[in-house]
Amino acid sequence: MAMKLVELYPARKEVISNIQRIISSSLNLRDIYVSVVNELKKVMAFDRVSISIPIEGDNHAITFVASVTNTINVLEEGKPYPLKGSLLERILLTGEPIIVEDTKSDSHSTNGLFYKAGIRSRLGYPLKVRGRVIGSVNFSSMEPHHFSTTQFPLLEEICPQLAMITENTLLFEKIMLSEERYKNLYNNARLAEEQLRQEKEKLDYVVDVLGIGLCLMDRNMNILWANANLPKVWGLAELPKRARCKDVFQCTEAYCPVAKALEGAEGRYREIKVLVQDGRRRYIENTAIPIRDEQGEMGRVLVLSRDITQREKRLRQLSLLRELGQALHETLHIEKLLNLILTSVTAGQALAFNRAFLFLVNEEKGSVYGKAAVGPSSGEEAARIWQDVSHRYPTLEELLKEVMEREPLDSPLNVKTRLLVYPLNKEEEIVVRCVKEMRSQVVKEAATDPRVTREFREFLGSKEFVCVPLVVKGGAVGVIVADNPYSREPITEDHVHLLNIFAGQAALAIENAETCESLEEKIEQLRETQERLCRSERLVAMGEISTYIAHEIRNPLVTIGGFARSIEKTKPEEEDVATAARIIVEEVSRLEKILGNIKDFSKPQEPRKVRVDINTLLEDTCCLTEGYLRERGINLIKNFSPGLPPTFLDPAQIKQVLLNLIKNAVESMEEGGTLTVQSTREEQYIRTDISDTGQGMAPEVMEKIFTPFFTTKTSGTGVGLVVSHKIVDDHDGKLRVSSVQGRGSTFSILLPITE
Amino acid sequence: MTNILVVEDEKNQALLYRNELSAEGYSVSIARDGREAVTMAKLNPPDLLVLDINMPGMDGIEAMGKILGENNRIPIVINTAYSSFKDNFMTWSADAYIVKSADLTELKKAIKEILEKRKGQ
Repeated sequence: MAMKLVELYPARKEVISNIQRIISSSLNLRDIYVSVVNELKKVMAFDRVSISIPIEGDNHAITFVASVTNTINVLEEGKPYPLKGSLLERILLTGEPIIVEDTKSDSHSTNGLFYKAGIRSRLGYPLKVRGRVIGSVNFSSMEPHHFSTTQFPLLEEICPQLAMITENTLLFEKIMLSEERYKNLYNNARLAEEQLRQEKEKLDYVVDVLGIGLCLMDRNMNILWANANLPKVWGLAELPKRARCKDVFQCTEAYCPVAKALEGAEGRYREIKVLVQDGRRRYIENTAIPIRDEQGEMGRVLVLSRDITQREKRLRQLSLLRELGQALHETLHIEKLLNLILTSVTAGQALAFNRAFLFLVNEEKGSVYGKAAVGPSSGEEAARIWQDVSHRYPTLEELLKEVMEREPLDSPLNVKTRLLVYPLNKEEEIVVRCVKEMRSQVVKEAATDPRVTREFREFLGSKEFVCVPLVVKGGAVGVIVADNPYSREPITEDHVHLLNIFAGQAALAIENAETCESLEEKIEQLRETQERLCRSERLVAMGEISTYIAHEIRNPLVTIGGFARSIEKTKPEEEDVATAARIIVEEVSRLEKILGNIKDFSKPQEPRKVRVDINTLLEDTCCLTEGYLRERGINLIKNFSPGLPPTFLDPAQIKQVLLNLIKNAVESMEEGGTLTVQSTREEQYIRTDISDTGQGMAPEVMEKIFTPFFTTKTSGTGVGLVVSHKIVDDHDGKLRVSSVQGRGSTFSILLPITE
Repeated sequence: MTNILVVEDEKNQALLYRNELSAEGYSVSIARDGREAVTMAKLNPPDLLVLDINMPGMDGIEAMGKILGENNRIPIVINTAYSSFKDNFMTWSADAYIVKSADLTELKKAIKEILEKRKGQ
């Protein structure tokens, strides 16, 4: 069946040109394969043909494209097969064509498979591009010994073309493949970019909200990029073109976080800068983070700038409050404490108000009164004092220590403040309002603010001020008023907040000091009472002795002198007797005079009237009798009207009256009953009723009860009610009685209200 | 005749009062202590009582209480060596309070005034 080469020659030429045409028509071998193979069939006999190529970087090869049927119309691509021992391997090694005469006896690894498929002989021809073997084209035949080297020249001409198109196809496919990959990558990148954009937006938002300034610097500290916050943080109108690090960050310090970051080590480098702007200190924290550039080197630095003034301020305020709090608890001396409080409010190192006024509540008198003030009286004085103070006391601690040791100065402002007293019911006064509402009052415009009275405005003389209550255990013990009339610094929310916290501490300290003071007062009173008791005991003893002696001497003197006078009166005739009688009379009256001069120490003291809240007195008295009442099965009802005005009375005497009346009431209730003690106001009197549910009195008994020595009792002198009446009389009061027989009696004490 | 009961534990002093008041024209009886005074006042109520306070047995104040409890119309002059009882509530119901003296002018004057006042009522 083999055709003669010579015969084939013209056909061959045509085939070659055909094949070239076909190949140049497309880049895809598969598309042109069938045409190419059909052309080949014209000049060469074979049953099947395939192209094999090795797989890059692998020990396998793949049948790139193969005709499976004899008609070549069905194409297939094979699975990868091991390169080792295959025809292709040999071709790759030698670059020479190979003929397998009979697959039955040949040793190439793939032959077994071919033989099974009915293939007996094979021809492999290398596909070379620029002298490099890229694969092989393989012809097979059902007949053994079908191929011969005579076919080589033809293949020599066709194969470079085939090789070219194979290579092109492979390249094309590779490109297609990477384009596909690239497309995917591109899409992914788009997605990533979108996400990044969103993230960046979020970040920008956060950065914006936090007021963080951001910038990126290169190795030479040129600012490559900055966000809009950066100039704001640094107080610049705008960022200069081609700004450098020093244009923004105002570096003066030796430590530069940017330089540190550029040294290469990963991490964060921080510093805090203090910026003085419009006379205010601002604290800015810079954080430098090294990042890699395109070359993977640490050639870029991201710098974050954050204004941490507020945070620093808080920290400073906290430590200040702690410091002041400690100072306040170092003294229990009330005057010193008050001075300390006011100094804390005005010290530049502390709350830094120009002036501070302290008002305290006097519960007893129902008023708020000016207690003390600290601050200069004029602008010139202010300047002088401030200069002086900051010069002399560099630290707050030293200033407070100095205040503790110094006696309070009586400045004109202090004196003026002490003249102020407001009754607690005068609520139009801002100080009183502050006490009542227990809330700070900030006045921005004193002239128009309805809370400020003319009097207070004229006293203070400043446009803007703040009143802060000193609150302790749910009640206000006083008010601090503070203002800045000299520096005219506006009072911010921050100031008020700080002052409020401080006022809380101050209130506690005042309360402590007051408790301590009243304790000291009580101890002093106790000591005085004890002394008085001792003294009066001694006096009573002395008095008793002297009165006893006086009495014992006076009695015989009365008799002696009396009879001497009798003798004198009889006008004795004998001169001697008359003279003697006269002498006795004279001497006795001299002695009596001496006795009269002996002070009667046992005399009770004059009644001592003091201002007394009747309810307190009643409570005290009831307290004394509670056990006594319980013993006798008597129920006590206390019904005291609140808010009664104070009265002027001798508490000991009135207590005696009350005890007396209660005792009478109890004795009229032998079977037990109810005793009611009630206080009310009756016109210009305070009335106290002592009512019993006893037997009551008959009208004839009621007539006599204030008569001395009248009594219905088996024991008793019958003077109790007389004494009570006398005492109430001495108080310009009235003692009344009403009684229903069998129902009970009521004794009413009316005591006048004295303003 | 006006009857005066003098309550006085010292015998000699009682004699002085009897002499002096009798000389003023009063009928004078003497009680030696409070108890005697209460009994005598009961038996024969006097027109006026001159009362010493410090006495053995029943003292003047107690006696005054008892006597007034029986008859609170008898005027009482307290005549005592102590000035201190003036401030004692108990003595407020007396009509006069005289500090004893060898000079009896004050006592006599008080008695006379009280009796005249009573007569006028």
